[in-house]
Amino acid sequence: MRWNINRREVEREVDVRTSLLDLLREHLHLFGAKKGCNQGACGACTVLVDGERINSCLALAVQYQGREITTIEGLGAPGALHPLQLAFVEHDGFQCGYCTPGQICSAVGMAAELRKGVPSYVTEDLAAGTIPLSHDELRERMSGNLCRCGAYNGIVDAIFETVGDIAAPVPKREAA
Amino acid sequence: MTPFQYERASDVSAALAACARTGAQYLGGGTNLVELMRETIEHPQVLVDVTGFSRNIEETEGGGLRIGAGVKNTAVAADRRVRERFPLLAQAILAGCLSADPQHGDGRRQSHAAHSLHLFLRRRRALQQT
Repeated sequence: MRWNINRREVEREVDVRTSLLDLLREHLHLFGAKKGCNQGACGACTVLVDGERINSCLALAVQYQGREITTIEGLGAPGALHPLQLAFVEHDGFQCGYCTPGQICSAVGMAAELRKGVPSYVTEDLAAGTIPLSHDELRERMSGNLCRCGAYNGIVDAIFETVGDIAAPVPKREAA
Repeated sequence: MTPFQYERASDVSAALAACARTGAQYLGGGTNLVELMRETIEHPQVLVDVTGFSRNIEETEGGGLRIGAGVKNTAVAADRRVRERFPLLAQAILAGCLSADPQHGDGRRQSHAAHSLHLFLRRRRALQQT
């Protein structure tokens, strides 16, 4: 089986039962994504597939061949941190750091959704021209990522500073 | 997780034929199914991956919309036509009522419905074992 992970082609033969998370951690030794609950509730395993965020613990690796998979290791590196990583440091967006890779991958995915005009549960007017990123919007959109240290205020501040100026446009009407 | 055979369906007729076999199930994002398989509550012999299906939302006669089987929930909820003409559908997806599939992209946690189903199946299995 072949995957594209962090812009590199990798090839491994694994059991079809292997989750994408286990492929990353156990077979490729990319330990950024964490196995918190292993049932899609905590978000610590969040990675990006073709720019969209998914919970890698509930994804079968075999399904994600031929897709572009990005983990925290592919977003930034020591000395070349991603803007969100810098902001998390600046705003104390973590305490133990366990949920941080998932938080940051999720925030990158959330920013992409905002740019595409994806609404959320707390978006009051689904037909509005733009959806400003309010505190409620940000917290709702990041609600799939839990932080047991309770560093939420720092996390929200860090994400706000980095992507807060994105006001989601409503997608253009399709040509009839 | 019980071993299974993985297949990727190229089109609808191939998927229907593949899933007509005993012990075959469709595989979409996998959020609910994979978890239930991990708990051995579900144990399909064959998984037919249908995520490669159409991702288009098309107009139909009479003002309806035809949503391709490969369209993610988030894409449905974000679609301008759905939001304007079928806001309840968009709201339901955003509330996580329909599937709240983390693999659908909006990052929400599992819905109460999915969680309740999961608990029900676990309890039923526990009862069967006693």
